[in-house]
Amino acid sequence: MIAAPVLISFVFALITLLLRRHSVGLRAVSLLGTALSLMIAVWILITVWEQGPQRMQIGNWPAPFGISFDVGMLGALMIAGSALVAFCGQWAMQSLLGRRWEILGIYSLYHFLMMGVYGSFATGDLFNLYVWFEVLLAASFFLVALSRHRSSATGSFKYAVISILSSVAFLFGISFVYASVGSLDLSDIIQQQQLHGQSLSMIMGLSFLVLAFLVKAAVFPFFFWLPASYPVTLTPVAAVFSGFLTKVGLYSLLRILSPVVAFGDSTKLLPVMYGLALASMVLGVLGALSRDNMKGILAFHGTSQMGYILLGLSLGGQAGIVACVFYLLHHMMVKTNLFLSVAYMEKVGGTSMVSESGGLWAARPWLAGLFAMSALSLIGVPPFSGFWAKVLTLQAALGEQRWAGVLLCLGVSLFTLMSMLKIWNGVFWKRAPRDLPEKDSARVRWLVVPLVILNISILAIGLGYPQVRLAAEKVAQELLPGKGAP
Amino acid sequence: MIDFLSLSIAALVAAGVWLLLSRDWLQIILGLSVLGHGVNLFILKSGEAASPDPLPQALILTAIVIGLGMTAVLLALASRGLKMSKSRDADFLPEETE
Repeated sequence: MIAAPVLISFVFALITLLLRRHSVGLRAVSLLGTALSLMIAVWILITVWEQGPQRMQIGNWPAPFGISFDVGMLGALMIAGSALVAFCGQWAMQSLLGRRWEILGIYSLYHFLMMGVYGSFATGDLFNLYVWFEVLLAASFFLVALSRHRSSATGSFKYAVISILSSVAFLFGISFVYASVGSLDLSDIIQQQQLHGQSLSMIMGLSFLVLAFLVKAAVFPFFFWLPASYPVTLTPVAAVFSGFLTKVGLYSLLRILSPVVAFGDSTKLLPVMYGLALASMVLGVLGALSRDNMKGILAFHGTSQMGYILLGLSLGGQAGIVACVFYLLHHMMVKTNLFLSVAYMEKVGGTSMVSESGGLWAARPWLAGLFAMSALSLIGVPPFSGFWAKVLTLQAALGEQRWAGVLLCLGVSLFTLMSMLKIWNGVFWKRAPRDLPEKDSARVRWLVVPLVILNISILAIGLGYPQVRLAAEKVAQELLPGKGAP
Repeated sequence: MIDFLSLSIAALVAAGVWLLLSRDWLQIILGLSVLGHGVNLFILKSGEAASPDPLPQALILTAIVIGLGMTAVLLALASRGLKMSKSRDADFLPEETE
């Protein structure tokens, strides 16, 4: 059953490929596909919450020999979160994209992308994870290349080359790990490390894997593909990418590094990651301040927020893992919502440049409200989800007495506020440089639905903080079996 | 005895990295695929500890197929890029017309 989202995405990718000339049917079927995955994802989350981790052996081969699908609390949370993002992204694409993209098969590519994402969250085998990565990467290359921008060709090529290079590092890591423990099953690898400690070959393997996942997560100094490719991508596509593509990298980092955190750090990987997290927090937000393109601002912000998430992991304790998981969930919703609001602003104002737009406060006050909610959440204002995410990260950093982390955590929030104010002043409060359309077309107005859904989920994470924190603590207990409650 | 397997891994990886450092669309793609072959041999090397081990060969087979697919994807992207930028330089940014 835990493989159901993967199978549904695959089937709907084929159906949408066949249907791509029948516009209405295509949209209905595609939306149905994402809705089905969402329902099953929620059901998986409830099952895992009540009954603990679910396992499935492909072809009934027993665990270390066959390929297993293994969904714990972390995987279930990520599948549910990305299914929600995928549903909203599908809805946004339907209300924004023209016939041209539909005939080119953008929905089909989208379902293939989702197949890769669900697969990587569900698999319990290292090599299988590599295969799912390639599935989602191949789909994402074409999704980036499908754009009107002239520079989308160079943008998607850079993204593709850097991603494939990281896959090469991934393969090197896999071979080192295999040479060390003779198994590729993730839980088996963790058990072997617990029993026999970490050999040199295992440390080499972990280093290569961390390198590969840091590239996917767009952390300094490996983030250059992100601002090169996101601004030239179609905005609703960039929204879903920022929702779960970089999260796949961080999810894999959490899975692979949990033994390092649990059994003491003989690899010295965590201090390195601590430094990288701080550097990407600062450099990402400075890059965001320097941009005029709204999508560029949000893309650089992605790197800054990835730094926050990585900071939680690199602190190396249970509190850090809890903060990291909470931040992951919060960031999924907020980032997608910000990109979708920008998509609406682009549709109304006709440009994605801050300097060329304006007057939206008068023209669309409710859009300003929706944008403000997610912007405030990103900055970390209560009662939104971002507040609790930052509180947990700060608490973890204070608990470990990492003063540089505490200081930057607070300081970077200020710069985040500045860059959000830049969009706010430029797009909403500035006088409109030209006449804005009086009303949006009926189709574009449907974009409000995903914006409202995502805003509700941001509020829900913020107000239902005890529940979400309980889930994050369950994840931490699952990842760090050796350590008790803090 | 000279370990030819290790030597060929080193040669392939070195050649791949050297090709990758170029700015030409085609050389980058060639570099990635040569590097991919280096990794494939490396996976074979990793299975030498347990003597008759079929798993690395299965992994290599998968990696070769994926590598072929990815090379095709890259060629498609590069041909579109060449058409749009009219330059062999992969980092050449054409003036935005929009």
